[in-house]
Amino acid sequence: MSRARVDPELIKLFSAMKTSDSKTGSTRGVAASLHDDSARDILKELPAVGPATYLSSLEVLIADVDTDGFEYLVEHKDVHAISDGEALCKIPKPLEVEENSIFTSRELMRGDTELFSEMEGRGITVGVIDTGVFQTHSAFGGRVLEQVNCVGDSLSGDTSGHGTHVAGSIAGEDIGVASEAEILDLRVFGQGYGASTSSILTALETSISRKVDVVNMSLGSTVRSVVLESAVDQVANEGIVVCVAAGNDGRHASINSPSSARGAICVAATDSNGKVASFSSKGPCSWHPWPKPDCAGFGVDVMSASDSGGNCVMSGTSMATPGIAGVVACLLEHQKENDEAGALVEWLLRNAGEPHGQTHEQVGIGFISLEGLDSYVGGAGGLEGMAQKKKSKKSPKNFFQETIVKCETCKNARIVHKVVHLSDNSVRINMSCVKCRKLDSEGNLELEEVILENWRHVRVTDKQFLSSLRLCGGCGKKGLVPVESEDIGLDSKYHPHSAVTVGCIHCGGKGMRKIPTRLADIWN
Amino acid sequence: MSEEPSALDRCLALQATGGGRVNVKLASEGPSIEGNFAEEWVVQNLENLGVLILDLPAHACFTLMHPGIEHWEEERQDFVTLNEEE
Repeated sequence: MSRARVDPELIKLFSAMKTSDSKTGSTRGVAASLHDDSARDILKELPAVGPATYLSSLEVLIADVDTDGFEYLVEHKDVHAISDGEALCKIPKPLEVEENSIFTSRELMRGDTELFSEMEGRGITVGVIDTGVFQTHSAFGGRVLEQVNCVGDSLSGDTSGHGTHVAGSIAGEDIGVASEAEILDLRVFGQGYGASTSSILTALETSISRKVDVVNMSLGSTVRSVVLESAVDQVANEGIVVCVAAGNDGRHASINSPSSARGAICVAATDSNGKVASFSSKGPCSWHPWPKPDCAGFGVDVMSASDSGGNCVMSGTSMATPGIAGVVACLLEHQKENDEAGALVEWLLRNAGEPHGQTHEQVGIGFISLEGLDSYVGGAGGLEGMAQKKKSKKSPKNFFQETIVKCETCKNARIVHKVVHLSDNSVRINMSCVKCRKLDSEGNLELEEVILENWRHVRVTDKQFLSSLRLCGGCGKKGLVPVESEDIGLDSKYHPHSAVTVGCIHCGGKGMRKIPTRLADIWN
Repeated sequence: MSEEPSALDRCLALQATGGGRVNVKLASEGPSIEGNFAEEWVVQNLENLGVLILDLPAHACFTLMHPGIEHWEEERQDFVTLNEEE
């Protein structure tokens, strides 16, 4: 049986030629899509009538063939498809979709927002790690700041059209969610099939050194890269929001790397109704315990900028991710006075979606839009309202004091005796409460232990830690100061730690705190 | 499920293929890596990420056993754009 997909009209045509006695009109121009490696052999062996042309960039061979030539192509194992070369003008549009089902990311992911209606990502820079961007496309209005070649080849611009489409959904005028954001084009794809780890690492390094606010990565692999995931985490730790496509494998537990990184915002794709796309990779992640994807964006039949000017339609989690990056740009503009804006945005993307009845494994927290975020951020019940209430109090509470340090029984602040940072980014804290503390059978203090596994997202600052360390177990006042510290040897699963001798300026009591050396150095 | 190859096995496998490009994640704490790699092997030092991109000759593969290295991977080229092909 032939492996080639053949235009049925051609089959009829050549069948008619074969049965016809007349030799007149017994050839036909055909276009055969074939495997590049076999092109040379096929050109040599094909019984063509007249010269045959091979278009290597398209991997298409065009030739006039008779019935023998046609049969040769049909039977050849490396010929994928054969079309009528004389009817090429009849080739349908690349993507047949109903015109009325095509939307831009701007239309669906901004929605009818009130709170963010003036927010267009002004003053926000988005690093686009992709195939390059068609810099002079009218949709960008000169907002593609620079084109950084992370591949080291001699190419420029967009090598496939993918990056331009992605950048358009972020910042394109009339099509992008944040139409005044600026783009830093970080090209990691060259002429070949895929992008290399080192080119993507170079792009991530540039994102930090150029201080971008958001990174968009509409790329991935089904094979885990530990180095790349740790690099994404590092970028996120710098306060940059990293949006990464979940993958297009569609199956359960098929999240791609590096979207699987803990610090990445892993984006699934939905259609215009918020229904998860069949191709969108589903959670959980095969190699990590944390839940993925994080949220979903519009990624089916997305209209955005084309690398040949104008617009075109594409689908994929690649297309959903820039919509989220655009939302982030608008949020960051809105929160520009907030030092914790990055953490707030990450929280919103993991908590403020609309799942439309779908599971976390399909869409994470759900579809994210600026309209949907209105109620989370604005109004008395939203974050702004809560922040306002916080400001009106004399001593603002913080998450660490309220949820970690507070004694579960009496609700008073506990004394922090020991803070241990493990190399897997978890933190172990040993505490005791002045009122509720107990002694064991030998008269030693029984310490309560709290483990923060999701340390990077808890975002406890050094200042908050040091503040909690000052609480004296003797008088209950914040009077402890460091007297001297000494490094203590711990095995390799811990970061370096010190034992700090402390004294209280109020009651004169003395004690010991075991904490990371880094914290001890700051305290001293 | 197959077991992960040991660090030594991975170095041996890299040596057997004549070395090549590797991406090295340095440990944030631990012994200094300084002087472990000849200058000509270092393609890029990505300081913000704590990553070195190296072109290692076969005889240098065992430098990857240094305890200041958290993880290393051979260069790959399988990261693709995630648009659906029509």
